[in-house]
Amino acid sequence: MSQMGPPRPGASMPAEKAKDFKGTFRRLVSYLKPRWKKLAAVFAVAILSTVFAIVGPKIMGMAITELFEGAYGQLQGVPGGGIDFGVIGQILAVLAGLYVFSSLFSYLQQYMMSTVAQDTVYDLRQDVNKKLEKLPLEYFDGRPNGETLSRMTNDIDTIGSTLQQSLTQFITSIVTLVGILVMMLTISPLLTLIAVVSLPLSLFVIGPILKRSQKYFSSQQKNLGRLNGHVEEMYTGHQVVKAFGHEAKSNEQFDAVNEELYNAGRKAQFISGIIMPMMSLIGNLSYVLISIVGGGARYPARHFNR
Amino acid sequence: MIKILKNLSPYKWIVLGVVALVFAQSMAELFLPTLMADIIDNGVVQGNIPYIWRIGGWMLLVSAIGAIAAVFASYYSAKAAMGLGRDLRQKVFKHVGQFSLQEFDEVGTASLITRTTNDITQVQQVVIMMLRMVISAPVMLVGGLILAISKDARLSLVIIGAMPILAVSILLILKYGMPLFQQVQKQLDGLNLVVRENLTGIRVIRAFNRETEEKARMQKANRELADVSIKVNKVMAFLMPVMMLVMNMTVVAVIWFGGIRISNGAMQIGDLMAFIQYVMMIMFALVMASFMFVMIPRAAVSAKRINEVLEMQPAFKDDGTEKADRERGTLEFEDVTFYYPGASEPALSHISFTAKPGEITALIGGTGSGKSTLVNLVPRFYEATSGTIRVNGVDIREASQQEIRSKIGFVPQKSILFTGTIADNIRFGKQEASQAELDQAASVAQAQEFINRMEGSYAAQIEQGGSNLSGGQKQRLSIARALIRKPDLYIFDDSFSALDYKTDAKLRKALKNETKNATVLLVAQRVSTVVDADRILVLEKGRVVGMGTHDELLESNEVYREIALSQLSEEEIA
Repeated sequence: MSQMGPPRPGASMPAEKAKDFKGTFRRLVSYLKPRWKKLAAVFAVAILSTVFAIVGPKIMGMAITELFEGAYGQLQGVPGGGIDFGVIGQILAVLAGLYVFSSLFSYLQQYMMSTVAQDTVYDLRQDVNKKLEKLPLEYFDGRPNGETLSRMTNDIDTIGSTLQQSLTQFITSIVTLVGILVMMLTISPLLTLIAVVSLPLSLFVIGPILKRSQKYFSSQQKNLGRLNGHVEEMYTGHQVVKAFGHEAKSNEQFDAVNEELYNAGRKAQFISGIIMPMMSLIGNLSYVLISIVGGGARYPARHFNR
Repeated sequence: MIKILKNLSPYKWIVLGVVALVFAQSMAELFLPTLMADIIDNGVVQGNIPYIWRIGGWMLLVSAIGAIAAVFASYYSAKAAMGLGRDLRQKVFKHVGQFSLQEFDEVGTASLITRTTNDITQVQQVVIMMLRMVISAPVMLVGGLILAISKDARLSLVIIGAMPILAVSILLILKYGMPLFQQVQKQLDGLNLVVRENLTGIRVIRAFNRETEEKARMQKANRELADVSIKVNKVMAFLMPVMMLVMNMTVVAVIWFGGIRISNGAMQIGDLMAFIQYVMMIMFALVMASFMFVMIPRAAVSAKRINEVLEMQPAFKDDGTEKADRERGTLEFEDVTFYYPGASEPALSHISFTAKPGEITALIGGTGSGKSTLVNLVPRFYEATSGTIRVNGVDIREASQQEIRSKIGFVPQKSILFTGTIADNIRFGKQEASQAELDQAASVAQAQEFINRMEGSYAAQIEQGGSNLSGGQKQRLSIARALIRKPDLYIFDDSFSALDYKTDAKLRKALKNETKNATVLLVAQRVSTVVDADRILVLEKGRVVGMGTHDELLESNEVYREIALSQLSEEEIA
């Protein structure tokens, strides 16, 4: 079973693409710089926590293999067969230790990141406020207060929660990917066979799905952005919309964007909902394959710990 | 929340279908570990390959059924949830469209925007998760338990022990975390308030050098928000690690005790495998269930905010049917008094005047004297508390709002433009306007020159909020937008403030020609703007304290003279 839970698309964020992504990114990095020591510590514990979480199943596999061999020996009546609880106990103790450390590190990571993220947000707000003090009055006359307000509060808030969640998730995802690759290399030829069989299969099935999902998700975000923009314009310009009798036209435009958003969102949500079942179908398929190929051999036990 | 969910009723068959499909999917998932155990115990251990083939085939069939059910469930749940979102958005947007400015003031524009966008997205996300989880979590929980017990009742004691630990630790974290979330919201509102006050009062703050105090206030609000956010994130940091720890430890315990059971011959190895899978399923279902407990209350807050908007009714009805064309180009106020909702002092009291075609009526007075309020009453953005306003000789309550507004060319205080081209924005006043009409309106508004200088001239794009134009350019476009209607009544709410004196003078001269057959209502700060008005109303605290021409008022009115003296040199007055 996956450790990540169901995939949670960031659908709730009305995302407009930054016009100058590189520049924006560089600016964000400059805000993180003063905290690089803390950030480095966060990354370090994130890596440790992920490594431990990946090694865990392998150790568990060892325990189960040991159990399986013991039980198998007992069943076959091999002299001296039977389960060696001393060995299993040792393995399990190591396993338990690993899990404790993994959880501990993952807690530490979140704990430290909360200070890093929120202090960054604090600095950003202070700086925006400083800037506002310097801006000429025309700036404020030129745009609705709500716009400036939402930059100061909501937009910066979004940066905060993204820092808290996505940054460390990015690190752990990379480590997980590398870790699993390493794990696969250290495992028996038969498991390599599964990889050979199911990986292209997964790619074959998941690849197009992912591609589409990306398309639909970006279309959903784009339409959400358009819809939010329209709502914002019509509400801030409510007085003018009413004065010039534009209600019907505004509704019409809204309905059109809303319908597009519905279609894109429906597809995006559908696609994201079928990735998990598809993965588990492939998992089961490969399981049966190994059972058959392995025949009487004792390999399937290991496969449980994917 | 329930009220909002009622909007799902057009999708009730889809929802029922999703429930059935998710149920089928859960059952398939529950069945799989048992089949796996069977393969190991009777196939692999005994080296019975045909048996593996057969049960393997079954396994694939079951998982295929599960996957198909999941795919359809995903399709229909997306359809229902997104449909709900779409319907709600449409409903809220249409409803808000009927609001007068009174309701906008009451809820706040920013809040209305979030309610129409983010809050609905929130509800939509939760509905889709609910559709997928509300059935599967209990089915997996109960089914997993039953099957685990049926595999080995004594080993199930481990689960029975672990479940409360998991549930209690999650609930404990949530118990500490949830109030903090509310506090975060409160601090965010607090910060919002400080920033908003800073923005609206920016002139006052700068005029009185209050920057340092305001900065300190802002810093305090900012720090408080950051601190409480850090606190809540530190508490929530426990959630995932604790859940994973309990889950993993349970598996460790199951392997240990299961090993003993196998050694005693009370259990088969395959059953242990299946058992571990069931443990995972049960724990996972518990985690899902606790997430639901978190998400539903949060969505319920959003649902409540949406409902508030939907339940709010416009303060006054739009049920007039008269045509507003009895005496064209006239405006009449008859003993009009207006209170803002909840205010104890009137914003305007006992205002009476009559304006005829070709006349300019100017309003002058200090901040908060009621000038803008007065002009906002004419297009019925607000409803006068008592008294009568007549446009073209017709009581504005007896004609539809649409009818009245179609006679008015309104230029608001803040120049609001919309995304689109320059031409789109001017045509906002008259959709079928020809290029010649555009040119004419633009040239009267003194906008022709800068439009021609822009790339693409009339086809030049205006960004959201008109941020690529200067304040004066926006004001001129917003004037052109009103001119193109050729209305019977012009309202300029302090609409020349961003223009330099020269442009201001040129514009007013050109306007004079344009407005021969119409009446003009004009709010002004500068005395120079009102000098040649036919009638000047001097307002103070919502009362008319003087009415007459520039010369008459200079002679007789103390308040007006003060305003004039503060702006004009002696010879200009004379």
